[in-house]
Amino acid sequence: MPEIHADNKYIDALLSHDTALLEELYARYSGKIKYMVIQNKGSEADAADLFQEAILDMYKKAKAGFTLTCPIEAFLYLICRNRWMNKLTREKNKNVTFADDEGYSSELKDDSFANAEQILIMQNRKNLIETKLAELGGNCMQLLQYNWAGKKLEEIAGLMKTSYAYIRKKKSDCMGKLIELIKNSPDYKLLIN
Amino acid sequence: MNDVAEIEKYLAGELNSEALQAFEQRLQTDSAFAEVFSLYKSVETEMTETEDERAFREKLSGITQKHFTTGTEAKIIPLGSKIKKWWLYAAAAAAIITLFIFKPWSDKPLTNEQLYAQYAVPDELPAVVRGANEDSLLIKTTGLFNRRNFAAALPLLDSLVKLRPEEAQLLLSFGICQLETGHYNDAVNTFDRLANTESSFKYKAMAWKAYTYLKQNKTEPCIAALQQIPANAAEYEKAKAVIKKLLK
Repeated sequence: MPEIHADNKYIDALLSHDTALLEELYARYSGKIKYMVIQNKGSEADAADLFQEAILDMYKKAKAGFTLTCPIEAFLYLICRNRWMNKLTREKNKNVTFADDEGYSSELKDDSFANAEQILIMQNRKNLIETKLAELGGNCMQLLQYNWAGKKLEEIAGLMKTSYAYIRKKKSDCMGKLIELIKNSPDYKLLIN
Repeated sequence: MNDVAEIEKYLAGELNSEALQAFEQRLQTDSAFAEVFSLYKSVETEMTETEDERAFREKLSGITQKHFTTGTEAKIIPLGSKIKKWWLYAAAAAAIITLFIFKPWSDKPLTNEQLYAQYAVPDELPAVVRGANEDSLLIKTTGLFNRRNFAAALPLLDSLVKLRPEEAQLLLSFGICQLETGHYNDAVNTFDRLANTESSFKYKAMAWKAYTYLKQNKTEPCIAALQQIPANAAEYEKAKAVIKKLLK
């Protein structure tokens, strides 16, 4: 097992929502990501979104069990770069090539690449669902989003001005339709455990 | 889909022992059903945000705003001078970036797609706390819209414009979401609705209607819509510039 890196303190900070260390993480490393995005067809708003989502990805990975064996800077750069390339590819910007890896690859161990790969798979799973959800659209999309955001079916019935019984049945129907759309996608196996 | 209703009952622990046994038996023998079950669980796991995740996301949003000029998540800003300053800085930053991306000094005519990217830039939605019940909905919507997640913001804005029909900026953003998600006719209807009011956003709505045509590569209707914008409107100079470039 590779040794745990001192920067693993940031992973612990994610789990404990430690404001001071999170601030430090942003202060030290967000500039580099901003630069990388702006150099590669993105805006500062894209960079802000990318950086925040990358930290959320690390947080979810940390909750599932993950320790850092390389500098956080190198790992963050790797997952941000993967996420950004993924986005550009989805938007058909296939002619984008990143100049280099900023020399980080020598600092990354095999397990870092494996962890970054798992994070990428996690993103692809979510992207697939979100794409199909957008295809589904309408009330179904709204209902499911409310539900995933933590609203109870009773609450959703109130918001959508209908009965609990109707919403419950509708939710099953909508999930059924969403699953059908996913099943018809060539990538659906991503979601089969 | 009855299979999904059955799966939901199973996961909620609502099946009696007989039905439970039949369900588990079916999972073993019916591979198509097992696949639906697996997909159901994956979708729920991927998409459901826990209380802890929500709290963490909110905390991060605050920090993101401090470290990025064009901050991305919901912005809760008191009305007043601060908001104006913030808009000024954002506009200045956007103008500089635009200059370097689109090189207006270059003579090469831009494609409709490039023109759309250059001009159809939505203003961010400021979230202002008003102490109403729909604040959490507004904050969530603002975050999604400002992060340009238009597909996700669309249904929320649909609810919000019903709750706050008098808020022109919400209606404008709703139209932008319809446009960005490819619901062009709906978008044109929304922009027309706003253009027929006396709101300060009416000329923006007219410009966005033109951008809806631009996005569809319909140059003539785009020019016609831009020509509707009167010379005293703030959008006039921009409209003139787009027309000039379209005629190049």
